[in-house]
Amino acid sequence: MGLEAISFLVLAIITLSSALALVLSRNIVHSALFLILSFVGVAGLYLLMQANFLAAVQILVYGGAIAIILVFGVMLTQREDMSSTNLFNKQKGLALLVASVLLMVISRVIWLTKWGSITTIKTTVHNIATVMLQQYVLPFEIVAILLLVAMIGAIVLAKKVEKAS
Amino acid sequence: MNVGIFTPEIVMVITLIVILGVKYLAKNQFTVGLTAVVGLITAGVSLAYLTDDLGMIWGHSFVVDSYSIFFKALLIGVAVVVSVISFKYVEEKKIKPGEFYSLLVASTLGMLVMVSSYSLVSIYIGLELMSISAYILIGMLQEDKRSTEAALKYLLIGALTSALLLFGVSLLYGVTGTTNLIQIAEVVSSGQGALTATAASMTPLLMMGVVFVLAGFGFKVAAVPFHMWAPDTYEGAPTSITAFLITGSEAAAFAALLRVFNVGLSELAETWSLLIAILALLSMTLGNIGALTQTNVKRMMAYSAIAQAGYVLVGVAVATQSGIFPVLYYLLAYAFMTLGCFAVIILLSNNFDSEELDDFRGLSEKAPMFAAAMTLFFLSLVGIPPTGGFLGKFFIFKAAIGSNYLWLALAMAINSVISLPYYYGVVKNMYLESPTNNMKLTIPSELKFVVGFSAIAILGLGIIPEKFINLIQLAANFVF
Repeated sequence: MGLEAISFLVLAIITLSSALALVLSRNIVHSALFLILSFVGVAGLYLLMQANFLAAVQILVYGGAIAIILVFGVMLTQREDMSSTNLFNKQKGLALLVASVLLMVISRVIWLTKWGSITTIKTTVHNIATVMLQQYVLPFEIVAILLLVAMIGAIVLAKKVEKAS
Repeated sequence: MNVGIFTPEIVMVITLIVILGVKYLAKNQFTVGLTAVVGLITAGVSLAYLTDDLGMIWGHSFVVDSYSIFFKALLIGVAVVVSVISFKYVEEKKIKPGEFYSLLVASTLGMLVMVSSYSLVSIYIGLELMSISAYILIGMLQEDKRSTEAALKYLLIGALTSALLLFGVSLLYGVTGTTNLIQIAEVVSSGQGALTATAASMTPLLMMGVVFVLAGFGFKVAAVPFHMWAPDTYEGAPTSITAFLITGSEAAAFAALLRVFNVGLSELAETWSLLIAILALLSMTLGNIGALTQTNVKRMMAYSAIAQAGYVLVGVAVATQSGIFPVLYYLLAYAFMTLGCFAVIILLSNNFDSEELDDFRGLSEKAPMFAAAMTLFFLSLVGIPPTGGFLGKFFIFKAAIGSNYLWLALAMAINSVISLPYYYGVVKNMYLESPTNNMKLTIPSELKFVVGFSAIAILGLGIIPEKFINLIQLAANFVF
């Protein structure tokens, strides 16, 4: 087994197990921390595919900014006891069943497909810029409106209802 | 490059920002609503100056063809009507007007992007803009717990839906190496994919992508078995937003669905057509059966909308063989009848502050024209001549028979019969029961206008369909 395969396995195990721990842990602060670990694992996978710019963005934006905002959100809605803040319902068994059926179907499809080889590109930054500001400039602009809408929405929903005097 | 082809979208972006400012300058709420209507109508009028040959730019991420112009006109029309019927409602329920109208415009903008693109990325972003604005709009009745619950449900299920859709899109992209629907079609027919060498070896992955994309759109159009959010969300949302979701959001989702499946994946039609046919059968049957026992009129309309989505899905299932014309015709007629119904519902909601079926008692005495119009809309929803709903159903029925989906056509006929009792229940309440109270209804003139216009349009679509048929057939010719 080559070095690449070993690092892939390690990264995949880190990503998947922390994602699982995120879902299953009862304390929401632990969940947030596991989420960060999972993000970092994905960044490692990007590096492995030689998408180094994407990996850096993943760590900066997801591992850094989003994680901090998430922890802030948890702190601001804090309860007295953090030990069971991540809520569960009684459908664990059903969820396990659905998830494993889906896993089997997807594995079967992956098994059936004959995979070719792909060539990796050395510098991704240049290509991302070209694609984002040429071919996908419209979706790029629409995302700006999307952020505006999200901001309006956050203000509307978080603001207290004005009581009729 | 010609910036002119974005005129409607640019006008709408300006409108949505201006509305937020007008809210602080204007003395009354009416001005805010009027700004939205004026902006939307300007965008609608600008559509007339776009011509067919403007073509596509930026790698097909934005196209202007007769198909997208048809849907844009329909969606802007829906948004105008929804704003107009909201005037009184927003004031009555103390909804913040500036945010309400500007989010409504933003959601419509998302739909416009969705219907005018050959790129899966643009379609997805448009869908997100439409949905995120809708999540907020649904939760805007902040004093009502049901509204918050509705918004939360729609948000959670919507997020799951987006993940499914994106996963499907990523599979399609992974196999074909492109997000452009036309190139996807080329790859599928030639078998020269990005990852695999032969056509046969990529079929399983492609099929999985198709299933996930279908599930994603299935949620948006509330097709069974992806419908569980619909009744609660449609009941809890502000009434005019329910109308907006049932007509606008659904029409936009169907427009994108048709484009994705008929342009990008038409080679695989044999496989997905059966999947959609099954969804159609389930939606029609369960939607109509669910509607039978409802006592809240919005909940009843929600189940009715699920059933109607089923009828449209029949048209989608056979679209590759029989053309997309029946679907477009039905969506047009459906928009008018639903908006008409909701204009009447909103009238009762303004006056009684509830939306129970009992509120309809004795409506024929209090507002005879409205009761008559409501009856007409219901006749159209059931599919009885001479209404637009009948012809729409007839075209879909004919298409289903023409494509060897006899069992589906049969199911449609049976379902029309199942749907009769619940529509009849409302009509009975209006005409045969005596009013529960003697309260006089205050009827704003804009509701009179909307109901009258919808009624005329429904009759027009049913009695003199030739004009509309030519127009829609033009739009339906988009497939290469």
